[in-house]
Amino acid sequence: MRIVVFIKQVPESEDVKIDRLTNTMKREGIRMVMNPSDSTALAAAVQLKKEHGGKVIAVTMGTKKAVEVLNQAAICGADELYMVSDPLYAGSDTYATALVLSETVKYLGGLDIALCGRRAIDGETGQVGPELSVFLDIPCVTNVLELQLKSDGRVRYKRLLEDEILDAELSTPALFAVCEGIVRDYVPSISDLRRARDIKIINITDNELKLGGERTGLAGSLTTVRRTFQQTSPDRKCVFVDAKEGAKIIIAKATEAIL
Amino acid sequence: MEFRGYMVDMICSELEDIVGSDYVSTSKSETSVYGVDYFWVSRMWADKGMEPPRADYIVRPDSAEQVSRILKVANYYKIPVQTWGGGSGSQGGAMPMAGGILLDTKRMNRLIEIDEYSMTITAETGMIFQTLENYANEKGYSLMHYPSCLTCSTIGGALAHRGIGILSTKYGKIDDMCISMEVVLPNGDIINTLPVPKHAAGPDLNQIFIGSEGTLGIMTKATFQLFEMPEVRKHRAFLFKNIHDGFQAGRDIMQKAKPSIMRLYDEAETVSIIKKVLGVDKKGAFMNITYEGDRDIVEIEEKHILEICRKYGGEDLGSEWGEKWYENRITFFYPGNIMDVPQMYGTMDTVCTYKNVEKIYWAMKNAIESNFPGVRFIAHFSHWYQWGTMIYDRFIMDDPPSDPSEAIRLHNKIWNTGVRAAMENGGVINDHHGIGLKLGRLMKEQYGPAMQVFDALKKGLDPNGIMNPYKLGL
Amino acid sequence: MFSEKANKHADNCRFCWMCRYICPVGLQTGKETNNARAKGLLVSLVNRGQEFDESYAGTMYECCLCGACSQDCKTGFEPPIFIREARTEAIVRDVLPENVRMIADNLMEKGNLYGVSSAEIQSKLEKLLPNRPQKAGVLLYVGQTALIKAPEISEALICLLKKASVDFTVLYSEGQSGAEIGDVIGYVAETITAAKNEAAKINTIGAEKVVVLDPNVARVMKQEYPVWGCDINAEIVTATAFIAGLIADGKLSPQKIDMKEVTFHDPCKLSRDLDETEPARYILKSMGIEIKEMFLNREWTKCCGTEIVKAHSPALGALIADGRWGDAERIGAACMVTACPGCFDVMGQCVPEGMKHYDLFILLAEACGC
Repeated sequence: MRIVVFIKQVPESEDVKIDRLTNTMKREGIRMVMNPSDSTALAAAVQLKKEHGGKVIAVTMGTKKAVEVLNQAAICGADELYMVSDPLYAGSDTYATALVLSETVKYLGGLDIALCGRRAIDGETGQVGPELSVFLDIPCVTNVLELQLKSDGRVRYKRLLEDEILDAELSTPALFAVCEGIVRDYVPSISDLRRARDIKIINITDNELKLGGERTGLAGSLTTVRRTFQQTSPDRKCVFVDAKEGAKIIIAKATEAIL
Repeated sequence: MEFRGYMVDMICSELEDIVGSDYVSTSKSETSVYGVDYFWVSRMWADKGMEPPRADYIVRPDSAEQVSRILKVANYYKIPVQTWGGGSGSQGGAMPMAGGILLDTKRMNRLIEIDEYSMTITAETGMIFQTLENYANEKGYSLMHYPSCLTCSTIGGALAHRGIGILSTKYGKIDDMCISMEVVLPNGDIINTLPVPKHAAGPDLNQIFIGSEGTLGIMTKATFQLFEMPEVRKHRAFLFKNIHDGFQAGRDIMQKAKPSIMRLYDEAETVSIIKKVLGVDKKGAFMNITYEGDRDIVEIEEKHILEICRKYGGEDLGSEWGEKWYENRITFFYPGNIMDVPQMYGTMDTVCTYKNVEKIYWAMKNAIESNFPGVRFIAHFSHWYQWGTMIYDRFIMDDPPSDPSEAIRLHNKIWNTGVRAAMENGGVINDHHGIGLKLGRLMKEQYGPAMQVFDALKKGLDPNGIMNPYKLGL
Repeated sequence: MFSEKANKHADNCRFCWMCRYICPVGLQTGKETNNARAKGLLVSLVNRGQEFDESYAGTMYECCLCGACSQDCKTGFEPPIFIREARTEAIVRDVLPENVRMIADNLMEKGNLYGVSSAEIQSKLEKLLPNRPQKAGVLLYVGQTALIKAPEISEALICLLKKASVDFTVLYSEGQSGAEIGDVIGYVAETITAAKNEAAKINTIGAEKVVVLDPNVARVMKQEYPVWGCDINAEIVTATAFIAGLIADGKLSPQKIDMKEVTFHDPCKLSRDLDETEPARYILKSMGIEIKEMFLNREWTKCCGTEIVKAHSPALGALIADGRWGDAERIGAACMVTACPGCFDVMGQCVPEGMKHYDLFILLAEACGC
């Protein structure tokens, strides 16, 4: 069983600094970590492997610094590590990113189960997983709360919806975007850690994927970031009133707004 | 110094013979940790994974006698000796830039005596200053020397760079508090300065070694003054319209009273403080002040202080901020709060007479901000005398060059610019952090022909030039 | 390779010295590597290309993991996090110093620091409580240190529980709780597996309360077990809190003991990690004993050196213990009471001339006529 986990390196906090010229994130001097729900995806992948056998293949796309998340992935039980990076890919939006990742999967020889976090804490779009599944032509389940590989090879899952939890199943190959924390992080043993040190990180560039600059990077992005800003709320006043007084104030303000 | 073949081991044997083989180390882990102190360059260097400057031998003596024998060996082989206490110096003064021996004083950490009648305390200089303070506290006294490095520096370190604490305005700097010392000269002779610091028996030996930053000898014991805990300690804060009014108030206060803490902040620093204190944007120059001691005397001091601040238009902000500041005075220095790499930063503290202080402040501010766009300059004035005050000014650059060599050269340029602006207007290179590696090149400019006095001392005491090379401009 | 969490803490600690003054090891040895900063710096240098060799490994074991540094840190960083991981790293890279390798092997093979066989542990438990019941309302978890190094304490505690008519038992065999092995090899799968096995054993008793004698073990059971997914279906109570409760409820009525110039040494895990300082004092008070507090007391207690350091570096352990005795001597104490089997063994090995050393439970047992 080939389980491919997609991991993104993100800034640790929501305190993101933006480069005014390119409207992309500044990465200098900010602590970068594995996106939390991707970390859960990895733990879920390792759990599946431990229970049913197979290989956990960790893939990340980013700058050279993103290699750090692959090292973490090795500690947490990944068997193979792939760093997808090319100057052509810089500035890719979710569409271009999903395209690159899908070509990576094809280059690596396909998958049985794809796992990723439901959204990254920096961009917060949650789009790459579903877009990737379209490029790979496999079904996609988002907001996964539980995953179980059945004896008939199908996957039973629980999915978080707005007002209920969906309990269903499907056949692989399929992509699952998991919620944070649904599985405990894998705790490695000493032999796991010894093995992790020997896993080589394999670099994948456009030489391997052969996508070219038109379909990737800023050029290949269907969306452009016009402006990124931090919403600062003005100082608000809080006054406690009773219902009658409150109603009067609301009516007065509403009338004012209409007029 | 070039060792060929097994000379390294021959010398190692001699050192082990003096202190014991457990106390000489050449291991990677030991030599690595002495490669970084509080000097920005050393931290940036380590952050970028560059090879730290390493000593050849880490030697840890237990007594002045052992220090003496080590120095004799070092002189014989002409091996540099760098002395390290807490390693918390910001000027790179303890860094083993010349290799050779790194002499760590921290095994010499014994309390020797507390003379309650004379109100003195004596200890070995490798003791962490907080430990000394704890010993004093156990008996109900204090040394009243509270630098930010109190919990990590040693007695020797405080003396080596003429350190200062937050209560210095009332109780003095470390050079005021030190009564007597034992010093090991570079030739191995163990000397004692006079039993008391005030006398008419020639120049003050204490003051030759205090501030010498390991270049003229190694201090091994020191006696300090003890103070009783104050009966009361009161805090107050004021907002002046500008720093000029604040200076005038501070100056007048120093003629009438002896506050323990008086901190006046420039407009840039005030903006962020006032927002925290009052919750609104208000411009001006913030000052917090603390006075303490006998209850009756404090009452009179307070009367004068309030009168003077009122005279210069200071808005009375009450006592809460000062109390809060005092309680949290050390929190700023913990990671996450304090500036850190990748920022570039430095404290260009200087000290001068009242006549020159505003001139120097503006000269430094303009020099930095106009020559280095993107570099912030903030200042406060926190240690006062009857003749003047000091400027505690910081520069902060958020995005320094990522190439280490380029960063270092820019760093040094900024320092040269700021410090020269101070010196040109009557200031001095540094108030209380010392000179170390960082500013040694500016000593000759500062002293001019007077430098020959230090050079003569250095030549006379350390003819082989083994004591802390490249530091203090010596 | 270190975890992101360890890297974050190491990167923050590496250039900061603020907690230097509170490290019980550094204060005694004066060694620069014996403080949290140095260890953080070494971890950060390894992350930036330096080789993690045996000297690095040795440095990481010269630490009590007492948490005084974490206690001091005003911005919440915790050196033990990266120090434990550095110990794992030392094992992974096979650069454990010889003296540490021995105790690591003991822990991995026999489940205790001392290499004592499980048969021997079983017989010690049998001797402590012959014909112990299979089920009881309270399970007394003795811990390997008390069983092997300070059996008098376990005997005293058993006596007290009997005197108070507590329905209790002990395990048939105690293995590795995770406390000692976790400190020596880190929080890896082997540690968690040991803990899970122990938790399973404890659960077979069906007790409502597990009274834990060793504060180090109590801390791990209360704070790490939930994180590790080891569920104990009972309330975990420290022996000090439980016994203080028995006195408060009138189930134990100690006589007054005439002792002067007594000081109490807070076990570091109890007072710092478990926030418990008053029950032991209450117990002493119930015997009419007045305490002269050392300068560093309660959550600021200075660690005795720990059983683990004593096991792999006895000379260092004794030096650290000396530091704590010095604190007692300086306040004019004539005797010291400790409340942890590790502290009892460690401090007991170097009692200064003219001073006396007592264990809290042994004292109480005497006062209760055991």
